[in-house]
Amino acid sequence: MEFTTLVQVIINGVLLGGVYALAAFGLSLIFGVSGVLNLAHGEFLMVGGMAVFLLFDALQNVWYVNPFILVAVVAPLFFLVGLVFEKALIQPLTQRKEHVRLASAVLVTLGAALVIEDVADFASRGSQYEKSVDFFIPSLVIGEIYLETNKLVMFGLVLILIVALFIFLRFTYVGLAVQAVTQNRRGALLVGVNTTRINAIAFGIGTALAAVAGGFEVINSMVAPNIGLPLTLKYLCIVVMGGLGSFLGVALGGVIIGLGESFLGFFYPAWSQTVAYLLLVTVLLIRPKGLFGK
Amino acid sequence: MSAPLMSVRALTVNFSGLRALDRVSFSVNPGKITGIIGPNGAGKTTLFNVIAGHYRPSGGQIIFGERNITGWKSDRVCRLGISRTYQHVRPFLGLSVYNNVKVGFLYGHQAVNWKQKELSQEIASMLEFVGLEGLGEKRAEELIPLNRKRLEVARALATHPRLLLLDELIAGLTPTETLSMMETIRQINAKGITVLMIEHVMKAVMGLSDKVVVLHHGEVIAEGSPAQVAGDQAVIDAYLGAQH
Amino acid sequence: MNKAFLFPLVVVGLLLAFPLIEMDARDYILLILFTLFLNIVLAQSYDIVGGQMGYVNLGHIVFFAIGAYAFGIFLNAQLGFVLSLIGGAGASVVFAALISYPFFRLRGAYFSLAAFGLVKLMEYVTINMGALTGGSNGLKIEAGDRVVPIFYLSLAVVVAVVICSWLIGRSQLGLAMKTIREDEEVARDFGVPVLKIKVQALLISSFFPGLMGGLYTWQLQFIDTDQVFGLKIALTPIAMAMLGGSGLLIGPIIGAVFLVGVEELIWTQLAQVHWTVTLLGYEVDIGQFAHLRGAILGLIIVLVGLFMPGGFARLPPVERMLTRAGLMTEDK
Ligand SMILES: Nc1ncnc2c1ncn2[C@@H]1O[C@H](COP(=O)(O)OP(=O)(O)O)[C@@H](O)[C@H]1O
Ligand SMILES: [Mg+2]
Repeated sequence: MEFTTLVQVIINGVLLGGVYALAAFGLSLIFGVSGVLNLAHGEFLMVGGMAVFLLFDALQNVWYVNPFILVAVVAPLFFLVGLVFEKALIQPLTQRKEHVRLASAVLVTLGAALVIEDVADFASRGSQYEKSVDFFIPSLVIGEIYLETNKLVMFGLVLILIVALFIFLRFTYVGLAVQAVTQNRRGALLVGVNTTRINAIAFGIGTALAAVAGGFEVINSMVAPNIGLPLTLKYLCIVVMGGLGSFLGVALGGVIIGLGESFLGFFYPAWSQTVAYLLLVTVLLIRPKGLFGK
Repeated sequence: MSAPLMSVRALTVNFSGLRALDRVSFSVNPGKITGIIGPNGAGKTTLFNVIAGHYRPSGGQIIFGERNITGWKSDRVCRLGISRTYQHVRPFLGLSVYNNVKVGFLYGHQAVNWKQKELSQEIASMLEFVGLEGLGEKRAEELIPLNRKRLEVARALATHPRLLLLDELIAGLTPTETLSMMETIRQINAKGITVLMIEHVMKAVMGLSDKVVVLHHGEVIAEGSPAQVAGDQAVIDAYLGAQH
Repeated sequence: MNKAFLFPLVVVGLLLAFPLIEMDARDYILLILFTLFLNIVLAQSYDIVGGQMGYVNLGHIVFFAIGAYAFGIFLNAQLGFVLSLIGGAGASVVFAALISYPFFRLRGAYFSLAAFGLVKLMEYVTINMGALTGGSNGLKIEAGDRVVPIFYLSLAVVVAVVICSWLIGRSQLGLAMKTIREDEEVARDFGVPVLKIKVQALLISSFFPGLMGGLYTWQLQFIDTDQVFGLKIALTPIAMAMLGGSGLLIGPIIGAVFLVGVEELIWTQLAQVHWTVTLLGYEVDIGQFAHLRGAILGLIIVLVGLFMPGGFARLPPVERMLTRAGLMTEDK
């Protein structure tokens, strides 16, 4: 393998991993705070991407708008969607016994995923199935290495969002409360944290992050009604691999899987999609609580 | 004097920075009741958890009979003959009272091939012993708190333990209930079962124990007969300190 | 004789007699019944681990898929029908044994996630092992006329899995599994050899879908990864078990009958008709909505999760009725 190719593969992997990490952060936040595996997470990503596409498409002839701006418009909407989703579907489950709650949450979020996917599929009938936004900035060429500017912008935004999230969790009251609930729900309740509200907020932020990742997907490649569940699975792999409640773990998990897919994609393209699952199983064999789990 | 049933030697447990137990050593004599007292957060429950095999100590040893059981998994510890109740009761809520107790018989220290009929009789008399007669078919979640505590005792006894660990069994009971629970503990001990009990209710510990161990901030600060311990200056300071 | 056995015996008796009836729609009905049996086996065997032991195994379908592929591969290797069928089930059990140790180091949601991930992993592995599995072209087998034998064989598997699940529910193993469901740490404190029990439960629950996988391949003569690893087939049996009443013997059966019924009778029929109604000035073809059946299925699943976590069978009126018929097993 030539050096320039190697660099190219690494850069692609890291870029890919960054977007993975972003969506997985959302899932991890939700999982950490509410203990719910949100199997509809990938659907919000898909719908977020669709929303960006629809806005872009509708505005196209009027006003040629940078799709990254549309992503910023869509994100707060999905924060609200997350709040409502949590209130209507997750909140009612919190009082149940642990194994019942796990099963009910699987049912509810899975059912919601099926509904969202099927409605999106139904609504897409008669138009193209895979949607993507035509937005192109010339690539940056450094020596023999090509850098797609889109991806660079995206990666920059991912980094900014991750740093913002970190600051939020470290230095704001709500952020600290989110962490407290993740670590010890009972304890947080005892010291006066409004866990109901924190749950809702975590869901809102998590959903917004999924929608942002969806926006990036639609700009960068494409979204289609059926990408939701498989993506959810991949993010779940990242979250579990990194270790519940560990943001560093999620970031690293995302990048490792991005790199893995990028490398395998180069050598054995057929196997590249197995990376997430293979790594998951391997990591769990060695460390049942994930890389950074306690 | 006979050899101790269990000795704990320089047992140390760390929780990410917090030292919950610090070189704790004491022994439990066979056939006796040993009490453990100490202010909240002293590490008493942690001591039980580490004896029962929930976590591996960072240092020290637990010797039971002839065996070094340090770091054994909890199911093995149970089969060897140590059973327990929990400070915050944990019956199998969704299972019947009968089945809660049955688990002890089937998997405990005396996990022989019970005959169905014999087992039913044993369970019935166990339920009667703790005062749960007639409640076998109820789900544990339907029991009132007192009965949940009784169920925990029955389940622990069903394993036929050689050493029974009781974690604040009496805390929260009314004076009458306290007396009857103390009587139950005495009867258990009279069957030849060695008891190690954590208790806040002084009347109960002092009345029942042959020996008392005092824990404070994870360390043993006194050990001796109830009368010795009650007069110990370090103990008085620890308790007064905890109140201020 | 115990009246609890009466109803199941009558049902099985009627089913045994059914293929003997001469009628036009016979083969069509047999096919629907096969689908029903398939789902009962998947839901019931899932529930051994999911309902009785409380480990929501989102990857249960992998056992079915392995059975299906292994059967096809063995059959094409001229191993003969019986050996291939047993070999298929055996392959599932071996696979269950291989994954049980690493997967059961995980608890609760972690286990469910990892098992779910396994579905995708095995799908890609199957696609990439083209020499053995036919890869993305699928796997073909040759089989003769088999409508009636397949009906009887799949019925036999249904009876076997129900009896097995019933026996477990009454056994010492079943009690240990329930203690794990209620509180694994406490179960262990009371001497339950948790890992061993979990492995046993998983092995048992992997056998029946493995067997059914072989029959599925035999029935269809052609399988590909979409069919046996698809997320819908992976998750529907689990939804069925929960819908009917997870942890109860009758639960998965009720759930399977209900969902297969909804699927086959309503949606398949609805897709055939072309009623148009005028709604707010728009012509709407009702039959179109048949395409939303995934959404309706999803909605039902959501509602069950929200409002009846115990499933149909634990709704008080249903519970009373089942108890009177002697069909209610106790889950305590
Ligand atoms: N699993 C654990 N992780 C971290 N800290 C713990 C854990 N269990 C107990 N502790 C801490 O160890 C100390 C001793 O607790 P505990 O043994 O429950 O005290 P006691 O039973 O004497 O009231 C407390 O400060 C408690 O917060
Ligand atoms: Mg305590």
